[in-house]
Order: sequence, then C-alpha cells, then structure tokens
Amino acid sequence: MKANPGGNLDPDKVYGRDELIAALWERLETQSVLMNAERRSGKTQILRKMLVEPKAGWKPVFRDLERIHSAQEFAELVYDDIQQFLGKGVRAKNFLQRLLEENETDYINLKSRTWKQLLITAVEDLMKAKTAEKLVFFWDEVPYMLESICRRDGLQIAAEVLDAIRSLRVEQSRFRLVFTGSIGLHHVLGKLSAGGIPTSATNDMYPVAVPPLTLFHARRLAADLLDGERIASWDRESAAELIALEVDCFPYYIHHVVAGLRIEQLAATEPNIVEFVSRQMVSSADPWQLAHFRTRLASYYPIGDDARNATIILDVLALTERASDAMLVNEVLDRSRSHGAIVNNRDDFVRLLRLMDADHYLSRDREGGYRFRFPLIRRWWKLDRGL
Amino acid sequence: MNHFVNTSRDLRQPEVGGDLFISRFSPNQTDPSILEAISIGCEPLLNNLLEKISESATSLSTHHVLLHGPKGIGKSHLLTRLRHRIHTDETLKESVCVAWIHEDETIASMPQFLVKIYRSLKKTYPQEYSREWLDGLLSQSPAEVEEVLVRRLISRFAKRKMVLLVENLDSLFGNLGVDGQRRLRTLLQEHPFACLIATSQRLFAAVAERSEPFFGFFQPVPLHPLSLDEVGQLMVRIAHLKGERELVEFLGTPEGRGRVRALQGVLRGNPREFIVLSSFATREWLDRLGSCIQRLADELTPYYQDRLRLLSPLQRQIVELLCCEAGTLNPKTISRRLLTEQGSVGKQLRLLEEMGYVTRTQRGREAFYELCEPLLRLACEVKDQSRLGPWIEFLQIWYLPEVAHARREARDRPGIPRCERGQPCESGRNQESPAFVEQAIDASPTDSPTRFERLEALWTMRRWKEGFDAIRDGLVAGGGDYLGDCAEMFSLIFQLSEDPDSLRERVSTLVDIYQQATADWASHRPRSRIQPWRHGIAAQETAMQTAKPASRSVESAAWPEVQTTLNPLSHLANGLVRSLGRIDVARATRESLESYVAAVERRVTDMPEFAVGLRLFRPGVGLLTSGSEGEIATLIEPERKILRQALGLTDGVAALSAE
Repeated sequence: MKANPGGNLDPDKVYGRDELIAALWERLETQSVLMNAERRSGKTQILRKMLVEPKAGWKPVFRDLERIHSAQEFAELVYDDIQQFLGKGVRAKNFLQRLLEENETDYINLKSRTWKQLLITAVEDLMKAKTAEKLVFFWDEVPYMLESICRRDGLQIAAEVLDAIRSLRVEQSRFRLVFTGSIGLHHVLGKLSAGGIPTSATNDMYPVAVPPLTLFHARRLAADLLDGERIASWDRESAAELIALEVDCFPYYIHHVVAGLRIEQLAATEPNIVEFVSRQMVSSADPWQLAHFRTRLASYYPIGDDARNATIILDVLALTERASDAMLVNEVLDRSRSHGAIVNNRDDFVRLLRLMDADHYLSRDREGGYRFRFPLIRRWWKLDRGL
Repeated sequence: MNHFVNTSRDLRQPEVGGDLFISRFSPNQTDPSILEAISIGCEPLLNNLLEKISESATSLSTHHVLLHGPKGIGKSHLLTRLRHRIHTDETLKESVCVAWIHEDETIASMPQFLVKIYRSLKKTYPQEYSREWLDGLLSQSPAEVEEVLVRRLISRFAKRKMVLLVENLDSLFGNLGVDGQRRLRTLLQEHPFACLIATSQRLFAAVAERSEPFFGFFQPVPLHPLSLDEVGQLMVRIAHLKGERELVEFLGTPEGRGRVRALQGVLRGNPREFIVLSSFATREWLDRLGSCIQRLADELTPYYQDRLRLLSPLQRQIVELLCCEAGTLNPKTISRRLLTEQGSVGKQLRLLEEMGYVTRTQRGREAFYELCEPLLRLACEVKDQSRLGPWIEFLQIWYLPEVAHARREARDRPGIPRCERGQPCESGRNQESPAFVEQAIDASPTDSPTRFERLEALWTMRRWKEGFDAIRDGLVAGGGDYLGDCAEMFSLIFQLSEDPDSLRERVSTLVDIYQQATADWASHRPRSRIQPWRHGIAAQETAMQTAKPASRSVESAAWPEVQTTLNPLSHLANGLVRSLGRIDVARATRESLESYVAAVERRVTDMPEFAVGLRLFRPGVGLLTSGSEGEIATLIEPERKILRQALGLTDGVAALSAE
C-alpha cells in the first residue's frame, strides 16, 4: 500500500471507518445525514467507500456539488441522476404519461420547467417507481454550492433550495441524502439569517462528525504504509505508533508523513519522525496550511470583537498544562478577559464558544469544559503564536 | 517556451557512435536512453512515481503528485523518463495510457483542456483515438464538447487508468479559473480514472490554500538543485558520453572539484545550466571559468531575453534594475530608482516572486529582493559583465584546493598565540616554548611547509618588518608562496596590532606587497589572459587556441598554473573574507572590529580585485558580532552562502576541508 495524501483511495485502503459506515447505513434507514468535517478529514473517502461497497438494497449516487452555481443547474443534475437511476423503461413510461397528461413533448421542454418544478417532478418520479433498490444521494461540498447560488441567484433562492430539499425529505419518506461540507453549513445558514431569511432547513438531518482514527487503526495504517513504501524502521510498530500520535491519528497526515519520509529517503526513526512533523508545523511555506486556522477567524467570526476574542480564547486554552485539560466557561471567560478580551455580554461569549465548537476548533468534555478539539492544532497554535 | 536549440554540433563525438543530442528546453526531444545516462539523483523519486502508478493501475486508488521547483531544475526531464519507463514496462503499458499536456500549450478553458488531452492520446495511441471523430465534435458548442469528451474519457478509462502529465499546472489553473478548477476537480472526484503528475515552479495558491478546490489534492514533491557531488557526476557522465577523456580525468582531481564547486557557486546547482555548460565544456574551458560562464550566458541569452519579453514593462524594469545591482534591494529603493509608486512596485514584486523571477529575504519587517537565476543577471548585462567577472574569480580562488589545503593546515596547527592589544604575549605556544619560536624564525624563508610558522613567529615577536620582508621575498622568489596564507596574515595583523594606527599601517603594508606582486605577475604573463571576462568570447577562444601550455614564456612558466588567471591581490581579497572566521568574537571589542573594517576600507576601496571581498567584509563582521542573518540581507544568496562558510555557520567549510 503506497502513501497517498490527497488522492482517491481504494475502498480496501480506507482504514478504521467500518463502524462509522455501518452506523451511517443504519441511520439512513430512517433519516438523512449531515456530515460536517474539516477538509482532508477523510469524509469523501468514507462516501466513496460507501459508494463502491453499498449496503444491500441501496443505490448511492455521489456528486461533488462544488461546480454547481445555480438552482437550475442543481435541479437538472438531480433530475438527470434520478432518471438515470430509474432506467430506460421507467423513463419512457414517465415520458408518455407526461405527454398525455401535460403535453410535455420532449426532454428539453421538461428541462425548461422552473428549477423547483423540476426538482419536485424528479423526486416524485423516484418515489412512485417500484425499484428494487433505494436511491441515496451523497452530495459533497453542499455549502460551496449554496454560496455560489447565493452569489448568482441571491439569498432568497438559496434558502428556497434548502427548503425545497427539506420539504421533499419530509413529504417523501424514502428520499435519503447525505450532505457533506468542509465549511460548516451553519455559516451559510447564518448568512441567510443575517439577510433576513432565517431557515432551519437541516434540523431534520442527523449530524455526524468525522473523527480521527482510533489509535489502533491509525497505527495499523501507518505500519502498512511503512511496509508499502519499504521504509526502514528501528521498530515498525513503535514507529507506526509514533507517527499516529504525532499527527493525532488523522489519516491524511499519516499518509503525508510516510510519503515525506519516502521522498526524503529517511528511515522511520523517532528523531526523523518528530523532526519531520515539527518541520511541517514551523515551515514558513506552511505545507499543511495550518495557518488557515488563524487566518479564517476574521471571516468566520465577523461580528464585533468575535475574531479577536476567538484568538484570545485559543491562546488561553493552548496554555493549559495538558492538551486534554478542559476549562469551564467562567474560567475561560475570566482568563480571556485578563488577556485583553472585550466581553460585554456572557451570552455572546458562550455563543462564540459554541461556534468555535461547530468549526472544529474546540470540543467539550463531559463536564462542559472547553479544550482544543485536536492536540495537533493546539501544538501548531502554540508554535505559531509563540506561546 | 519554444527555444529548442540543437546542441548536436557541440556534442558530436565519434566515440558515441552517432549524434549525441541533448535538448536544453525540451527533454522529451532527447533520446530517453541519453536522458537515463545523464540522470543524477532522481532514480528513487522516479521509482516512487512508478510504484504509485502501478498501484493506481491495479486498484481503485489514484495518486496525484505535484513536482515543483524552479525553471531548469529537471521537471520535464523527469516526466520524459517517467513516460519512457511506462512505455517500456510490459505490465504498465497495457494498463495505463499516458497523455501529456506540455508547457508551451496554452489552454484557456475546460473544453480546450479536454481536447488537448484527447489529442495527446490520439498522438500516442492513434489506433484507439480518432481525429475525424474529434473534428466532427468540434463543430458543437464548447459546453457540448466538454460534456461529450467527459463521457468519452470516462467510458474509455472504465477499466484502465490514464496518467495525465501536466506541465506548468499553475499556468493551467490560472487560465481555467476557479470555476474551471471546480469542474476538473469534480470530474476527478466523481470519476477517478486519472493520475495527475503535474509540475509547477512552486506551490501556488490554487493547490496550497485551504479555501481552494485543489487544496491538499496533490502530494507536493520539491525538486532540489544538484549537490556538489551530483554536479560533478553529471559533468563526468556528459564528458564521458562526449569522449572527453581529459576532462573526465580533470574532474576527478582536487583542482577539477574546486572548479566544479566554483561553478556551483555561480549556477546554484541548476541541472539545465550544467547540461548546457557540459555541451561545450572541455579541460581548457574549465581552466577559464570566466569565459566558460560567459559562453554559457551567451548560449542562454536568447532564452532569457524571451522570458523578459513576457513581462510587463514595470516587471521588466524591476528585473533589469536587480540585474544591475550588486546586492539585494527593498521595495522602497526600487520604487525610488524607477520613479514609481511603492505600492505598484510591491504588487509587481509579489507577482515576480510567484513567477519565479525574484526571491525575497526578510530583515525584520523589511523585505529584500534579488534575482532567482544568476544567469538571468548575466544575460541582461551581457555587454557589461563587470560584476560577474570578479565574482567568478573570487569563487575560483575560494574553492581552490591549495587554499583549502592551507586552511586545513592552519586549523591543524596548535593555537596561534593570542595577545591583547598593547600587552606582551602571555599565552600560547611562545610562552610554553620560546625555543619553538626561535626554531621557526631560523627555518628557511623559502621552505613552504614552515613559511607561515616563521612569519607567525616573527610577528608574535613584534618583528613586523622582517615578517613583511619574508612575505615579499616569498612572493617574488617562491612564485606561489603565501597565496594560501592570506587569511592567516590578516588574522595575525588584527590580533597582534596594538592600536588602530598600527593596524591601519600593517594592513596597508600587506596590500602594498601584494599589489607589487600583482604588477610583477602581470608583466610576466600573456596579455590575452588578463581578466578574461573583459574580452569577448571570440577573443577568448582565439587566445585559448594560441596560448597552449607549450608556448608559454619562460617567465610565465615560473608562476604556478593557478596564477595564470588569478592574481595575488585577488588571493589577498579572498583571504580578507576568510579571515572573518578566525576572529575570536569573545575577545574582540566592537571598537577594534570597527578599526579593522575602517583600515581595510581605507586601503582597498576602488581596487577592482577587492570589489567582492570588500562588499562581503562589513556585513560579514556584522553577522559575526550579532549572529543575525539580517546583517547580510543586502547581499545576494551566493554571497550570503560564502559568508556562512567563512564563519563556519554551515557545513560548507567542513565539506571543503574534507576534500
């Protein structure tokens, strides 16, 4: 098995996701799913594995929606996918029926319907068809598509697209979706809300996070990659565990480290592994683009002093003794104030903490305390901020 | 770039049994077996790429790799070898097809990109792809062309993979725009039938920023300049292919390695430039590095001039200004010199940096810019090479094996007696063994192995005049004596002089002696060999044909070979820089160092032989005392490298002494 940072993986090479995938199929029996995770966290590989190895009785269709710019394009894509799924026989039957009932003479005319009509027609066709398999759409990068629709068609249309999809989910009990996105959908919803169009268009979907691998699976992945790349190591298992721990068990970074060791012709020794990972973190070229976690604060938290306060919150939490140490809200608030945070309203501060949780900066322990979600990002933050 | 230059005229040798053609700008035009023969250092990477492609061919995985590095670093060379290896591998050639989008193909849209891919496949696999079908398709709208071609490629590659080689990916992505990039990414995500092996000059925003569609999509693999050993191997391999036995042998000698090291100091390990240079290099050419570099620049000038023509007027002005400067420049200075707004200059500098023309060094919040490619400077000032000539001469001496040997000898000697200014010597060898000093002074003044110890002993005993006389006699009678000891002489003068006046006087005396020696040397050598970079290539070639070693005059033969092109003052200037590494910072005061710099500047300013040495000297003292690289930010990178070596801040010195 070759290290493959960024490429598509053979389903057999997607490690440690079997339980999550089983849970997703189970959930899809009753509910659509909203999968939100940072870029390069492995969500697309999970979907591809589900696509190539679907559960019996399901027919998944994977679409990367990043290229879609308008509601019309989106509706046509969905229509085409559904017609493709239904097969020639059902398509012909539907065509004749429309010809007789609605005087729709051809496919082109059908596509000249409004995007909403087209979408509804497509899903109705799907629901009334007696197919042996259930269709499930895997729609990747939904937030990007919605942002494009906001720009081209306006906020109102973007909200209507979301509402139309929600209506179809509610009205058509067998219509299933998996939404994924690398930027949180809550940012798009927040933009709609700020534009006077509040929508709860995803509250019927089951939210799923994509966590890093367990240490067991991360270690196995690293070990198999070291073998596949024929990298010498003083102790394969120890080297694999060190690689896994150094990058918080993120599969993408495990692939990167092993690929880097191979390219630089380094043995998988402890100093080499530690030095390689450290180099990625402090390099001015920022090969893993970790600076994004700092630079995006201003656009993610544009209200008042939020961006500045978020920086201070991260500084405060980076200085705990251990990465696993969590801090209750009042303590974070007090320490942030002492570091210069301007907080006039505790509720606003709590709102900001929750947003940072949704954006994968923070997570909460059982007592409600906050800490960095990923020790890797905490380590980088300390280096980057000179803490 | 369409600057295909046939070098077969230069490389044709009977031993090769036919034309030895190595294209400088289009490696895919070169016989792959020759490329294999001259490939240095990239075999592990090539194997890694082939393994990735093999895995892609036999599974649902697809690997995407971005090879990045400056122009001439060997990206196209590597792609050519990769394609050749795929086509000659019995398994791979059945399971993958190769399409190649070359760097000179301008593509402005996604449909155009797909058409180019189809055409490339058609060229390599004419039985499987039809030109008539494509011609018919092109009568449709671009959107329809895109849709049909996507479907065609997906169906064609349902059971095997495409290896898509794309040169200048940054340019392609720039032309496709974000929308085109998203469509391409969607295609590759939804239908993973292709492995992209792409090249670019650097990691660019479209692949490196998290907000961009292709963030994290590629495994970035940097290609590095050739190391000294690799440069040597490359030159030996090409010389061997050309049947240049004399050159092969010379490159194996310490002197030959010194020349290669000096060349590397100028060309910074750029493989393309060494391939071009090797196409005409002979033993005689390497003897005269100035001419050698000048001819190289001459060969590459059309290429660089064409590249300059691609720039906007302001960008070109900035590049030309940097060409004319000895050191680096900050945006403020550039805007003042060009009478342009600093904001415009800053923007263009960023673009030039992205395009690989300039590179930046930070000093605090201030940025200093210089040219990335040293030969671009030479190509710009092809009619006036007053700067590069001295620099080449400086490097030639810096990497002379004789000098390296002298440095090793000096290091191997027990510590030089250290004396405080105005104080009698209280420590070191003379205190422990006065007899040693007497013995050293009594040694023969012309005995090379002990000459420096005698000088050291004399100056330690404050017998300055006798010491200077010994140097003078050594230079006149011994020919090459003391040339390798210049750093130690400066070092002793600095350490043993009691006050600024005596320091100034002794520096001046030392320079006087070497100046006289240089005048004597000039009058004894053939005129045509003086400072070869000041003459045209034609004159050099004539001189090289007429001034064979056998025809040298008796007088000039008295000078060692090295002195035929490098005069004593040049050695002294070299020693001045090297003496920085012998200063004991813990004992030297700021005032004493300032006196040293002032004494040197007062005596050697305006002496052409000291042009480089003097430019490095003051910043070098600053780096020595503060330890901050910011002190040398105004120097260009090769100069900074020399200073780091002089101060032992890199392994350069160790590597040198290891030879």
